[in-house]
Amino acid sequence: MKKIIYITFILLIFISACTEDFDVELESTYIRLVIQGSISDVRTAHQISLTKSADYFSNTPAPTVTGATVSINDGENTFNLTEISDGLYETDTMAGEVGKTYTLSINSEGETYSASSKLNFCAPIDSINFGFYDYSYNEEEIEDSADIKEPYLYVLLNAMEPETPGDYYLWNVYKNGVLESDTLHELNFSDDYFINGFYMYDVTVQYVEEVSVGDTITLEMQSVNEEYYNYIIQLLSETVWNMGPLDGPPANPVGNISNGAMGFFLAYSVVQFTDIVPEEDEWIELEWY
Amino acid sequence: MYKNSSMKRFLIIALLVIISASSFSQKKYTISGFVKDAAGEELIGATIYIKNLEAGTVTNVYGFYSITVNEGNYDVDYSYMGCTTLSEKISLNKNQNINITLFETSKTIEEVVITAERKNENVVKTEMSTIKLQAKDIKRIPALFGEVDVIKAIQLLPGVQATGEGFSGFNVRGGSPDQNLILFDEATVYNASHLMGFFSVFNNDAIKDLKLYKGDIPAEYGGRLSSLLDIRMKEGNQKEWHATGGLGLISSRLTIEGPIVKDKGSVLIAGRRTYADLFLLLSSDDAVKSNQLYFYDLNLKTNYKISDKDRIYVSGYFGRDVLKFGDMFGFDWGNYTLTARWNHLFSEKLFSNFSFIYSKYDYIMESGSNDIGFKWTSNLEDFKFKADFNYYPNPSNTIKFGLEAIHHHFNPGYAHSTGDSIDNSLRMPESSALEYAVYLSNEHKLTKKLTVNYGLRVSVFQNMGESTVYNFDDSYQKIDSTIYDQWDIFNTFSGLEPRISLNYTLNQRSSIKASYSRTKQYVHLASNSTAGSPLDVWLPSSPNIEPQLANQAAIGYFRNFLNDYYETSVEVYYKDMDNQIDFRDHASLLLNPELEGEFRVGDAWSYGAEFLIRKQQGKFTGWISYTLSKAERKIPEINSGMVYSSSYDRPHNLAIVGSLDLGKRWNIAATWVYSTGSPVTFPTGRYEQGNMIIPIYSDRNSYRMPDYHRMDLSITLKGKEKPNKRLNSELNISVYNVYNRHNAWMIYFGQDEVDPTITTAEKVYVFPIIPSITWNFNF
Repeated sequence: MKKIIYITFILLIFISACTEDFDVELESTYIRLVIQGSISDVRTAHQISLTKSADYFSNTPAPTVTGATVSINDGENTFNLTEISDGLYETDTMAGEVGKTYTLSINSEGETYSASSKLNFCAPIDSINFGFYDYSYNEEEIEDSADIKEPYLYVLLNAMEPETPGDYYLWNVYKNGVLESDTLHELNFSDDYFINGFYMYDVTVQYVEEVSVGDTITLEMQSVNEEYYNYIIQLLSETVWNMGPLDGPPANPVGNISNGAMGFFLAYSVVQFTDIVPEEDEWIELEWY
Repeated sequence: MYKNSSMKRFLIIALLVIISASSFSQKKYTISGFVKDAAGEELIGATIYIKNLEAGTVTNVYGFYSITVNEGNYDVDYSYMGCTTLSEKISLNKNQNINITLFETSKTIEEVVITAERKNENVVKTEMSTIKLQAKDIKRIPALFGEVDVIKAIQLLPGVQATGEGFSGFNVRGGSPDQNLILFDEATVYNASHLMGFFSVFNNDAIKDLKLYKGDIPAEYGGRLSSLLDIRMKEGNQKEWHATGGLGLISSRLTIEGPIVKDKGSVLIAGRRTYADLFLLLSSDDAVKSNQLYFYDLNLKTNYKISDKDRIYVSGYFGRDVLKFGDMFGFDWGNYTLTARWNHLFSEKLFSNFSFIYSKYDYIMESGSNDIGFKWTSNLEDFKFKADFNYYPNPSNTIKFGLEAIHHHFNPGYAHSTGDSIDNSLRMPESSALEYAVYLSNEHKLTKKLTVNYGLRVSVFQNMGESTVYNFDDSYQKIDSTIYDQWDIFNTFSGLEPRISLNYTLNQRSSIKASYSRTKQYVHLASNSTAGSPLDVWLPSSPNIEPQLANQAAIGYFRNFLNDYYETSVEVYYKDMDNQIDFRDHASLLLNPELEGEFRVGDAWSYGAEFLIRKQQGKFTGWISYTLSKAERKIPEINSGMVYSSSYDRPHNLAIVGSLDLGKRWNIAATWVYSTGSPVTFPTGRYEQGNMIIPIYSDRNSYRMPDYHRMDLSITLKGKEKPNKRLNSELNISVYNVYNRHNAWMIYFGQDEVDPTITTAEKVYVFPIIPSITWNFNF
């Protein structure tokens, strides 16, 4: 729904709008620790990365933070992380468990930081299908979307949504084993407000570009918690969704880490479903609405 | 207890005023009537001046005047801006009903006639912080796309500024846009914007005049904190049928007016429609053809004089914006107003008006088809009854009293799927409210030099079921909800709103004025964008939201020069506002059933000095306005509780407006505006997350947009005037943003497309130089 509003505004406001580069002097701000990482129910080495914030126009990769003590506690056991490269800390191979709350503790440069996150259950994916829109309906649309690389395929989800309200989903897509949605704004996400307890039948949740028949497509569904879901929306609101004066005043995204650090520590569960792109006549034509 | 004793005091004062006004014994008679122009339009604020007594009065909003003086012979002058003054000799030995018609002065004659008459109303009136504009003055101001716009005109006045480039939202003395009460023939207009605010809903051809009160709002009006914009629709020509219209670049207008029964009743119909989208029909592409983007509006007014003592008026407005992308998506919004009024003269001294008013604002957004899709509706509906009485006991007192009752109904948002798919609807709680007020005010000439206008408004606001009210804890988390039955009054607010202004006339050319007013606002717009949007959500005060309150004091010096050709004024004001609304960071304001939990409330204040030089007569007219001001806020949960500049804080604001008649046919007009850039929050730091660069922001509003300035020009050529020629026309060419300044509409911070590790800043500007042409006619 929000997307429709944005589209409307964009069309109306930018009918005659133009852009040009703008020179602005920005003050420096104090440096914050940035913590990112997660633990999932997949048996693997889970990673936490520590970096520092920088001035807005610093235009260099984020400086890493080495030599920190990093551990994760699940209420019973403590897992210590080892620094495998500058600023990147890793657990031993292990799997998170649904229902447990994980607490991240970090000691870096004399300061301590912590964050907690609950690992929620994720419903299994029954199957995926592939869909497309018939763009010949609107010639203009194709010209406007010249950067879309055809064929352009939507991934449709079939899964049962659990009856408990308060589920939050993120969807990633892999093409031939490579993560396609590798940038935050390519993630797709939804809460279960409108779908709670219903069967999700051929729901459009991701897309892939430049698909060939026979490609292997993997849909990944993550069940995350409400704080992270809101955090993602805030990140996008302050970046790609930023509508200037049409939006409220900008504000820093609110993560879950204590002591003024930026970033987020997430515990999530994940399910995957892999399928081969079938012949074009098996693609489902999607309705415009 | 407190309320009771204040109420008693109010009644005692009221009584005293009435007694003091009638405790004279000499034989007195009343001169009363209506003042109209040649077309039969009633003139608002025309001056009636009895030279022998150096006493006078002005016509009210219905053109009625009444003055009661001792028996005797008098010279009475009737004058109105732009009209030739009419002098009447009256021997007063009984009550007299004198209706006057004033004729417009042709400009060439005016230069010759030295007007010794009172054109110094701005100096001698008690009211301050007000400005009146006439439709014909507004028409001369160069306009965006040639669309003459009343709201754009008032944005050029001191103390008033546009919310953003090209927008028809405005801020008055540091107040937010929802603190302006916009009345169109007494009906509240909740959203005065067409096309996302680039045009206002008012069709200048249907407007008689407008008056903006920036403080010192008269006691008969209330419900908003910062200003009152009182727009009056034309009545329609009483004498003969006329049509006025225009063909513009983006819209066409047509107004037809004329008598139903000559000198008794008239009717006016005015319509306007944009047709930018009609060009889409020329496209060979079916998909493009099916897109629509337009607005239209319709004004209707009729009035009829039943008797010398009774007159009825019915006026209505209907406007709609429509946006459609094929069959996939539709969005339309608009205002409706309907006003029915009955003027009745109880006696020569007691004028009354009873109004029944309906107003509505709504929007509908639809996607998909009837079988499967989504629909979102929202509306706000008011029913209002108003009774106003003007009592003219003697030349020293003009007493106004009356009452007002409004029934509000709020449906802030309901979104649901259409068709037979799963029912997934989202409804923000609907609610109703009652708002009442009684008022009494007196314009009292204490001495020849000192006039005081004092008044009191008592307002009451009640929330009424059926409604669901969410209860929140201290951290704004919903605890539970309470459901109230229909008609159940579950919450009451009330307040006393004293208003006082005084004028000390130093001499006929200069005066000092001061005013104090308190205003309360019980309905609030939930919007944190500085740009106007049609997706307005209005919420009533409730157990969760206290009414907004403002106290404003102002003092001013008014001085006229050169036979009142030049009016100048300086006003200094301070406004203190309580319970001001802002929203938490990352607030979700649309379709949020728990919207009240997003409100964060605190204090705001603004102060400033306003300078105005204005010339209203002659070949050259115009004004220069300059405002030096500051507007700040302090809200505990916002900006870590530190004071921050209000988004409407523009310390320097200058507007120069000029119009020059060259000969009988040519007119050139120009405006230049300058203002400090509005405060904004910019990123100062960054970090990386998910392969994106995330900004870390500065303190709230600690940066400023680049300064804004722009010049507009217009040239009008009138057709040759010939006797017996019915059709008069004029051609208007206007250029918006003459020197093509790229005024920043927003600064966009983002990642470079080629190298995403590089962050860049881009300026987005909306209007480069825009020439336009309009052809206007009347016959």
